[in-house]
Amino acid sequence: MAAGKSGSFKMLEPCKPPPSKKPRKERNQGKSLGTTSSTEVMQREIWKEFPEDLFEAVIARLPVATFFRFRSVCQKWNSVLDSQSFSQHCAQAPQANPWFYTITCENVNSGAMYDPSLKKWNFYVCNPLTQSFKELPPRSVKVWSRVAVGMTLNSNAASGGYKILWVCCDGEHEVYDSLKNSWTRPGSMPSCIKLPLSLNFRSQAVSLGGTLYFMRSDPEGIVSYNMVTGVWKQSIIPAPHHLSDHTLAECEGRIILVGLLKKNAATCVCIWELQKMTLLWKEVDRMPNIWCLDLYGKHVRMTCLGNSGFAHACIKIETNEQASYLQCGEQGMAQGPWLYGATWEKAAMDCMRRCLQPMLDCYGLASLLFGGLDFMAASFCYYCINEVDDT
Amino acid sequence: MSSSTDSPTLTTETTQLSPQPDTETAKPTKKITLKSSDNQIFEVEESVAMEFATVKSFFEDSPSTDTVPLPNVTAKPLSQVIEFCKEQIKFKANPDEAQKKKYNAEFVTEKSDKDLVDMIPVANYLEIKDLLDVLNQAVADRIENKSVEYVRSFFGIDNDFTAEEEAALRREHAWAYEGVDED
Repeated sequence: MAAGKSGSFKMLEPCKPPPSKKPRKERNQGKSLGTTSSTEVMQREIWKEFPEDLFEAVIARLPVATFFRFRSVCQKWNSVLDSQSFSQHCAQAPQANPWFYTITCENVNSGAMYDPSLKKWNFYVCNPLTQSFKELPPRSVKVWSRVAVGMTLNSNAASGGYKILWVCCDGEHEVYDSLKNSWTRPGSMPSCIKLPLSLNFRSQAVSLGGTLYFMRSDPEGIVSYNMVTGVWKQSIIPAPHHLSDHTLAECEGRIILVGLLKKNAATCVCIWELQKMTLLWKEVDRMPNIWCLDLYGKHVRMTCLGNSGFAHACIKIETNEQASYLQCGEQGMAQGPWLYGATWEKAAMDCMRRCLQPMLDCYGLASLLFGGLDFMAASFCYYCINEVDDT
Repeated sequence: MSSSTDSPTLTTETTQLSPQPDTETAKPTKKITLKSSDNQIFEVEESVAMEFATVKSFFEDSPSTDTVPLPNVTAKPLSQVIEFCKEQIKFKANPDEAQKKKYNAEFVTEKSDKDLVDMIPVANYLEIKDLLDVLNQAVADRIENKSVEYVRSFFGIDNDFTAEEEAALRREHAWAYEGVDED
């Protein structure tokens, strides 16, 4: 095509890149990058002409705290969250993908979630990064109490959409598909699931692949729902003795249980891993003894969120109205460093940094259901909602 | 077994030789000439050039070509990009994720900011996705703990906020300003 062009090289004229090239690149081609000396001024000039979406690719790879800090670099960086191409870059940037799912029964800092005009709670999916939220269409069933909620992503791509499941103790359940923006009722529960479903509402739902896992009691175990195939399963798994305040978590594809072991006056935070063959919880780690001393003889409650090998627990020592915070485990909860006694903000911050980082991956499509607001109530951090506290 | 030791030694030597240098003595592979904007000529193996999606599609359009001028690519970043692609081809032939990771990390750590700045548009123009990923991550890693002011000067960005706007943003995300390196 370019063969007719003159010059010492018979082919390409300067602006004959493949047809897929975007205009900004052609703009760049006008500049002869090679002729000027490489000074600081030059560097500044190069970056001046640096295509916007190349900046976006860099920004998309920043940790979330850095990302927020750099919003004050300039207007453009501040508004990058609104850019569709930035969303694409975020989806492509390789990142760990921890997501937090749970339900919340707390009316904490929930102004954005509670619709005062309707005077009712509803399902919202919120994106804390854009500080936007979307109200889901009404469900066909107006069950508002004892509902557990979980969310899965169809894929890592921003365009892949997501699904949300709510399930009620009587087995009633419904699935929301973001791509269709509608709820569907897949049918009734199979007989292998013992009803009524005594869901553990203190525990978050855990998502692994396309499957959601809920804790149940009576009988003790886990109920799972595959959002792709629509298959319900129930596994009977005896809970460890003296266990309380426990929640499910996920770590590198394994199902983890985090909870308090209370025996006599002693209390300890423990972590178990589900043995899929034997259907037993195997203890993999526990809080160092020295910290357990702090809890000895006291009335201790714990709230915990965990995902992708990272758990954040909030321990309340109720006798003296003082709350301590504990955070455990980056490297797979089992081996991870235990941090204890961090201040509220610091712990919450560290947690958020990790938890929210992946949110950038999919922020374009909104986010997830998430609770434990009592220790995540920092500036922007919560997503969804369930409904009124019924415990 | 022992009697045959002499002859195998010879053959192994020759087989060892051939993959070692990519000189003309090796089996003839097609060479492609790339010409940078500052008129430097780079002769690279076809497989390396095909790592550049831009060059590849150029060849699909005009297969008879043997020299590709790259009018907005200067010699220095181009030579670095070629160096990177040569290694990637080796990893394609012998997949070793750990080694590849190590190489990629070393490749960027030894580069100056200026090198990165020069290479990114080149990698983007030539559409070398792997390299672009590595470079973008490297830039992100370098500025991760830096102050807003540092980033502005690093990228030559003018602060177009009013003082009030900037103060409001900083208040809103005050938590994100912890743990910043000294400039």
